[in-house]
Formats: sequence, structure tokens, C-alpha cells
Amino acid sequence: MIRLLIVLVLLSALPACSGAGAAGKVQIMASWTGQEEQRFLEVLAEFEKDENVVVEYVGTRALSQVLGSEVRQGTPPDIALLPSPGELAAYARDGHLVPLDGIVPSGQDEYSAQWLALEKVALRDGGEQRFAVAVKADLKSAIWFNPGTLRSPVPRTGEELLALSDELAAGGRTPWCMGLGATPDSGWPGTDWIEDVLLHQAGPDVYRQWAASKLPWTSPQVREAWTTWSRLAGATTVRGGPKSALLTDFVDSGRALFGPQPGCLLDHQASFIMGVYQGYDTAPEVARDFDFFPFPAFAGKPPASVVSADLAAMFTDTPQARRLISYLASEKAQRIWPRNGGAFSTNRKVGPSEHRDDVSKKIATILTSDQSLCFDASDLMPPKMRTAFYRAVLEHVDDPSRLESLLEKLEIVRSGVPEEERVEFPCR
Amino acid sequence: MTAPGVVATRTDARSTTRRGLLRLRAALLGVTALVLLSSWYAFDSVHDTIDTVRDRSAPALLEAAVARSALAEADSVAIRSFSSGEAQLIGPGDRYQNQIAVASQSIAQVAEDNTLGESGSKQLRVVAGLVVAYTGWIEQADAHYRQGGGSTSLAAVDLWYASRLLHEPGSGVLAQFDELVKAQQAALGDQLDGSSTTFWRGALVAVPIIALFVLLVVTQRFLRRRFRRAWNLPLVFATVVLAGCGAIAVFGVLAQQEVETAAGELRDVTSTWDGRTSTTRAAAQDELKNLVTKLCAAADGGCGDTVVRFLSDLRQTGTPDPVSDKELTDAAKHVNASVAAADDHAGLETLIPIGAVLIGLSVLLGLHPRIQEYRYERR
Repeated sequence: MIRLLIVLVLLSALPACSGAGAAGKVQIMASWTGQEEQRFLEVLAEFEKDENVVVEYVGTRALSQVLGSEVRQGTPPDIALLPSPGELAAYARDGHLVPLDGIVPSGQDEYSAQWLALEKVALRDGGEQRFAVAVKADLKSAIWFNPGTLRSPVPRTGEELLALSDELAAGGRTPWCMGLGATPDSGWPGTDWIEDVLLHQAGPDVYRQWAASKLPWTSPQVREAWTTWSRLAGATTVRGGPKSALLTDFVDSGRALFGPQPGCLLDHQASFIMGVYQGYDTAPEVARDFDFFPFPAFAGKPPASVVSADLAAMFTDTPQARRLISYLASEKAQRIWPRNGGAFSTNRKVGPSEHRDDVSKKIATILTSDQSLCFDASDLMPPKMRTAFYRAVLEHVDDPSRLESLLEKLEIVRSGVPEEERVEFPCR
Repeated sequence: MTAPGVVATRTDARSTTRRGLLRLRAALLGVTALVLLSSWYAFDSVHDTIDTVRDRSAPALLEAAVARSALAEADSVAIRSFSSGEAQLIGPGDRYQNQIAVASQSIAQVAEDNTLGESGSKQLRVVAGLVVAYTGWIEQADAHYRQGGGSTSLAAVDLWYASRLLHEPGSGVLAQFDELVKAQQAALGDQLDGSSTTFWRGALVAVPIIALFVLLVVTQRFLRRRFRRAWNLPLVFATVVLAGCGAIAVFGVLAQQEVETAAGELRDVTSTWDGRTSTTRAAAQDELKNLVTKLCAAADGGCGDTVVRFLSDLRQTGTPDPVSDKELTDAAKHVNASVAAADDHAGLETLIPIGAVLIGLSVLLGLHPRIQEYRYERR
């Protein structure tokens, strides 16, 4: 029997021996699925190879809900990639995040002050600490078109954009593709519209105040942004009308740009849509089949762009998690994404020339240019305000006549946002 | 007087007999230990498989099927409540609430019985997070519907978002569940393979038993030749016990076959559940189609590419015949009974060490007097 026990003990030790090859494991969670996930896995593969660490990736479009649930259960991933500085601030203030000062190199020589500022959170005790690294950026102020079907010159001002939209509609063509479906957060593609119009119509200062929940939703500038959006992309200028826009997923809205008889000519989407277009059955080619122009500023306002970023934050302090978060911010990792296409770095050392095609180079140039870059306002808002904004977009598209009451409801939500949750982030 | 050469020959013969007895005893005890180890190893893996199937795989797979079915049912009754107008007073309805409660309990149970380790837990948490988002959209639909007027069309849009969250191929809640169930079934298959009755596994058990039997026969013959005794009774007893151990080993094979049958039945039950879920889904999606296409027609425009894709996927979906709750419960009971029968046979495992100890003692008892006899004569 003793021999039997010895054999059993030896047998039970075998699995432990067989797993001894890897120097630990890291769990990382992000919202990327499909092609974006594949590209991120390629970045992680280099880390796994170099560090001999196994990385477990969980990709879910319901990132906020899943992460929230994991944190409540006390089983958060080691690292999560948050698209929202508002959420980052909430987790940091509640003590769920590990401060990265002293863990990740300061990055002052590789990242501009604006991106570094985004990674810091003002704490309740009045101090400020770095809780994230911006690992991927996107340009949101982009309007996509098919150069083969849109013959008109690219609009250079907001007024020209309105005129182009009117002109196309008058000529019997549908100017805008639109899809507001994005479960579980349907509505956000519309918030990108409001942000762009407000930034380019009211200017970066007003935008900053509004994003920080310091400007009332009932203010004239905000109201004008909503009405301008309705004028640009209203019932008669959107493919299929408002109900179609509500029922269409944002990843499907651009399908109508391509083909012999395009259903619409312009698609307002962030730069990550390139990867989505390339995945369509018709396999459109970058530059030949799709290109973009930046959302133009209205008269008297400076050129500016709305941008977004994915922020890597550490929930569990392990040596391998430290190594992975440092790697994600490093020049090496930042070079892999642009090389594979569809992703843009905020690292200064990763220049536009690293990109494969001219369209990507143009986006990278804007992201590293001197023009004003303002962070996506809905991502800066606290979760409650953001959700209200998403829902308000859906309500407005369904029935624009109720705008006043909608803005009043949004204002009620804004007035309930505690002072410490108002993230003020200056446009660069 | 005996010649010196003769004395030497007798002493040699005694010494050979004693050495032979000692060697036989060592061999008998050694092979008995081998019988114990090999039979225990073979039986133990069968027992582990049965334990896993009974305590983890079967409950997890059945609960996952229940959760999927409950979610599909909840979605179906919610859509029906809104499309019929009942939602004006009762919202998505009591049955919706009950099915969501059933689904939540089942997800928690699947998490408890999870056989996939951390990866399974992660996937379940993703599913649970998506269910929260799903119920959020249904609540929103309820709020819009109760506002009346133009908001009822927005309620249909909310239902559309909710339903897609559940049914979207690849990333929807039900698709995520499918992935989880497939992984659990694969893990169950691996577990069954690990204890299956292969030639080598059979040989591992049979060879030591046959070897011990041969040794016992050889020992009997040796004793008969050297001591002129017809039978050594303790060794006869050891042979009978060994035959019993052989019979128990046959029960081990039987238990493995029974658990494999139970696993097959389990797969059948879960696939029947899935068939019922598919029927519920098809009916709900059909109702959703009516709700959505009415909305697009009212808007006097196309429905967009997402709806077009949804409609084309609908046409490809088959609708198997529905199965009643009673049939499913009976089938689940049958699986549990099959696993219990396998467990009964595998429960004989504990007799193997007892048998081995009895054989060992009988060997010692049978050979000890003869060895002692020779030790006495040598003095």
C-alpha cells in the first residue's frame, strides 16, 4: 500500500513538472474581437516568445459589463484594456488598480504630454498617479468614401460638408451611411457624430467643458450640435431612414459604399473601420476603394480632431503582468500593430512611415501632428452619463422633434454627476 | 554410515529446496503487489471518470442546456409580450422573469461544476456579463413601450438589440454557450479516453493476474513433488481469491462500458435540449422578424444590411420537432441512473486491496511451515 501511495504521489507530481516550461501566466481582457483580436494576438505572441510567459486573452464586446462583474467577484483579469478614461478613473479611485509609477518607464521621450496626461488619475486625496498606458489610438474625426463613386471635391469646411450633403440629396443620391447598432452599447456611433459637430462648430474650449460635464446639455452650443447633426444626417439624407440606421450595426453601415450601385456615399467612422471594410465579402482595397477626409471645421474654428485610445491598466500586481504592461507601452510592441495595419500608435518613435498604405500614413500624420486633438467626450464621461448619452442618441434619431425634452433629461443626469467624476482633459 | 558424497548431495538438495521456497515466496508476493498496483490503477481511472461524469460533467452539461433553453424561452416570451400588446400592463411578463431566474441559477451551477478550469470560468463570466446587458435592453424596451406613442417603435429597436445580443452568431450569449458546451464535451471525451478499455490497459491488468495464477500452480506442483502433499490449502485459497480479483477486473471493464454508454446518453439528452432550444429560437426570431420588418415598412425605407443578413440567416435555420419537459426530465433521469449503475460496479474497487492482502497472507501462511521445516533441519 505504501508503494501504491508512492506511485500515486509521483504520478500526481507529473502535471506540475510538465507545466514548468512557462514562466507564469497573465490574463488580459479587451473589447477586441475578430480581426482586431487577431492583430492584438500577434502583438502578444512576440511577448510570449520573448518572455516565455503564457498570455490568456479574453475578448468581449461587453467589456464594461464583464469587467465590472469580475471586479465585483474579486476575480479581475491581471490587465484590462479600457477605452474609457472615465472608467479608468472610477476603478483607480475605488482602489482596484495598481499605480504604474515606477513600474512602467515614464515614457516622456516617447509619448507626448497629452497622452501621458490621459494615463493619470486625480485621486480623492488630491494626489495624482499614473494608472494606465495608452497602447493604441484611433482617429474618430474621419469621413470615409469610395473614391470611385464620390466625384465631388472633398469638403474643407463644415459649411462645405453641409452643402455637399444637401447637393447629393437634391441629386437623388443618399449621402450618408449610418448604423447605430453596437450591442451591448448601441448608440455610441451617434455620440461620435455629436462630438465631431460640437468640436468643429463650437471649438476645443467649449468641447473640453462639455466633455468634463461642466457645460449644460441645454446650452445653445450643445443644442446646435444636435440640430446640425439632424440636418446633415436626417430622415431624408440617411440610407433607409432613421429606423434603418437604428437597426443597422455600425460594422454593416459601410457595406453600401461598395459595389456597382452604392446605397450611400459617406460613412462617419473611426479609423478602426478600415479593418472592418477589408473584411467585407467584396474585399475593398484601401485607397482604391476607400479613403477618408478629416471632419472639417466650421467657419472661424481651428482644425481639430476627436481621438480615442485604449488604456492598459493593471488590476493584479504580478511580475509577469508588470512585464506585459511595460511591453505593451514599448517601442517594440508599438511597431508591430502599424506593421500589420488597422492600428495606430501614440508613440513618437513610431512614425507615419511605419504604415503600409497611404491612408494609414495620413491618419498617423494627423495623430502626431500639431493640430488640436481632443479625446472622445463620451469616453471621458462617467459611465452613467455615457450610457444616458448613448440612449439619447437612439431616442433622437427615432424622433428628432423631442430634442428639447431629451436635452433636459441629459441635463438632469449631468447635474447628478459628482464633482470628482468629472474628468477634464485639455485638447492638445 | 553414509558416504561423505551422499551427505553432500542431501545437503545440496535441502539447500536447493529452501532456496526454491524462498524464491517462490518472493515471486508470489512480488506478483501479488503487481496485481494490486495494476488492478488498482486500471480501476481507479474508471472510478475517476465515473466521479467526474456524475459530479461535474453531467450536471454542467445538463445545466448549460437548461440555461440556453431558458434564455431562448425568455427572449421568446418577451418578444411575444411586446408584439401582442400585453407588455402595456405586464412588461415582458412573469414567465420572462422566471426564465431569466432559471438561466441565472443554471449559469451559477455550471460555474460550480465547471470542468474546464480557469478558461471555463472566464467564459462563464463573459456569458453572465452579456446576460446582464441583455436584461438591461429588455428593461429599456419595457420603459419605452409603457411611454406609448412614438416610443413603441423604439421599444421594438430595444428588443432587436437585446435579441441580437442573445442570438448573434459567434459573439452572442447562446453562441458563447455553444463554445463552452463543446469544450466541456471535448474534456469529457478526453476523460473517457483516459480510462477506456484498450488492449494495453487490458494487458496491464490480465498479465499480472495470469502470472500470479501460473506461479500459484507452479508452487503447488513444487510442494507436491518435494513434500508429497496433494494440496496446500492456503495456496488453494489464494487461487480462489485471485479468481475473485479477476472477476472484479471484469466488473471494471463493465463499469467503463456503462459510463461510456451514459456519456453517449448525456450527449443525446443535451442535443435534444438543443433541438428544443433551436425550435424556441426559430419561433422567437420569426416573431422578431415580423416586428422589425413592420418597423422598416413604417419608416418607408430599407431595413439596412444587418436586417437583410438576419433575414437570410433565418431562412437557413431548420426547426426540429419540439420535445416536452417530461421527455427531457426522463432522459436526464436515465443518464443519472446509468452513471449510478456504473458507479455500483466500480465500487468493487475497494475489494482489490483486500483480495491482495488475503493472497499475500495465504502465501505466507502456506509456505511458512515448509520454510521453517528446512531451517530446522539445517541446524
